[in-house]
Amino acid sequence: MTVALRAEARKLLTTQVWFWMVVLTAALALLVASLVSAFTSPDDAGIPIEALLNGVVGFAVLIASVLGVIGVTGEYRHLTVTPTFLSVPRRGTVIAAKLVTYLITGLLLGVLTVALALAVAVPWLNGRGIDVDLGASSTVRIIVGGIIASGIWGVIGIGVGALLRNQVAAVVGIVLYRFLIEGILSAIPKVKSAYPYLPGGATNSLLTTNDPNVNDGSLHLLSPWAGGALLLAYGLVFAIVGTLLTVRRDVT
Amino acid sequence: MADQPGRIVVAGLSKSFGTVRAVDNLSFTVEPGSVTGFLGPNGAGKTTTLRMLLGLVTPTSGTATIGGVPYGQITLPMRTVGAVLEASSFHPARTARNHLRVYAAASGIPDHRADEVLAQVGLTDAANRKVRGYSLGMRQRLGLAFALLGNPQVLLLDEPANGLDPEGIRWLRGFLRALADEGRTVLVSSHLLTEVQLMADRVVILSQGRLVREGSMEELERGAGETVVVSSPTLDKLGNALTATGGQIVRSGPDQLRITGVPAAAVGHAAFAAGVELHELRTERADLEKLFFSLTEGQFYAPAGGLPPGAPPGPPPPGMPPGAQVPSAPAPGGVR
Repeated sequence: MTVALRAEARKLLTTQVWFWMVVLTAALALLVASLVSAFTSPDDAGIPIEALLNGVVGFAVLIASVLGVIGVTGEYRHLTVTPTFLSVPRRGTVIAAKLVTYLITGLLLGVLTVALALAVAVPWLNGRGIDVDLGASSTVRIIVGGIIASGIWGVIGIGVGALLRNQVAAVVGIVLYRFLIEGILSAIPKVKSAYPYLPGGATNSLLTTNDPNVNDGSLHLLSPWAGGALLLAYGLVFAIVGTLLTVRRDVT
Repeated sequence: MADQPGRIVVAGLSKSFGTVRAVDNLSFTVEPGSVTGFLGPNGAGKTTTLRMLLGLVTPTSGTATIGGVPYGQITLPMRTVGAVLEASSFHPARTARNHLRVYAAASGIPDHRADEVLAQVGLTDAANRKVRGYSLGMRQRLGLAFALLGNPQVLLLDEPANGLDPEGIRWLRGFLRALADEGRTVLVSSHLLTEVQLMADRVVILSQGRLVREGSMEELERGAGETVVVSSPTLDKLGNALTATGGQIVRSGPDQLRITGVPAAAVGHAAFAAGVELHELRTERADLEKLFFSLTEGQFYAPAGGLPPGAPPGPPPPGMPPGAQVPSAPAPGGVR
């Protein structure tokens, strides 16, 4: 397992994908932080720093999952599954090493995102006379929860990639789900009660107590712990099912 | 001694893809210290067999072991078995050195081996270039470097000469020879007999997923040689006389027979004893390529079974190799 982990870390770091993903993450964090800091008015409802963190964590989560998807599907796309399984014939070990690698990668992306957003927004907002209280429990929840959510979405990326193996299908699938399907599901009255248990609801339970999808009072998000565990379970179930159904197939 | 280190044992191996039986009850062994040619036309099942040996494809039935153990159960297998499979298993944006270092890490092999094997295959100058810009020949060399990374006892190579220029092929030949002389097991697949003829000690020949011949190159050459050609104005009489010799008789012309499996002396003696007039009696050493064709024919062409025995022989149909003519006399030896 140790050798497989070292190999996965090297695979990630010896192409330029990670670098450009980090650049993209940083650019989005800086852009959104600047816009929010510049245009927030002291009279606006809500806590601006929390709205900002919610927004940038959404990007970190997406980028972490796409990196995870590429981490698996790239192997099939470039036929490197052959040398990969030749060096580590236990395919479950390969997927496990990827899960750990992209969990850490996602956590680091989350840290980067949150750190950059705060570094820009805190002095800027303070300078404009808008108070920022980083010690507020709801703010701490978003900071910690956002970093954890990014890590878990790295795991989900690996799981979805293992399940689908096709890079385009997996990336499009995740993006569509995040931005379209979950919105549709939570708009359907009878399905809506399941929302806290869907990946998006579970993600939001890590970030906020004030999810627009449930704030009519009829639904409650899971606790951060339960939501985080559920989200991680989604990633692991995808990865396990993917390993059993597709990754174990013949490599021809 | 089935579990001798480095010995490859394939036993009763079969693989079906849907209704296609790619490998059919295949058994053979490959000994250490030799280069073994793994021959067969494209689609004969060579690649599938190699991939089953390497744990990439799960057999439908049967076993494939290296040193008595299935590949998947070898710890850090790249230190025991090196493999070259398809020519392009590289991330295009990764350099050759990094490619090798990834799999060195995965196998607990020290990083400096990457530079050593790159030097061994002559890619030192291109080590830090992305594989995207590599020619097919360079990719083959990088594939070979990957196989050598763990200094393995066993090497499995699938069509390693594809994409190499004649000089590269000559280099490969010497290279594999040297590896076998160090006591390693080398199994090289090819669809060209001439390609492995000069480097292989042994051959395993596959056709339609089945073993058609296994043995030393010498045995193969001996088996291929010695076709006796006889001409006589009274061919029927000669045919009857020769039936008793036990050879395999093929009518190859209006007054000509080709006999395999018996020496020229026996043919001459049989003719003499029967009082048959001979106009020609000679021994022809059929080349290996012909034998290879005759062993592996029929994979894509319908067998020439249309002509009834005794029908007037015509020229061989297009695509049919010489030596595969329709028997015009009973063949007691049967088809081997």
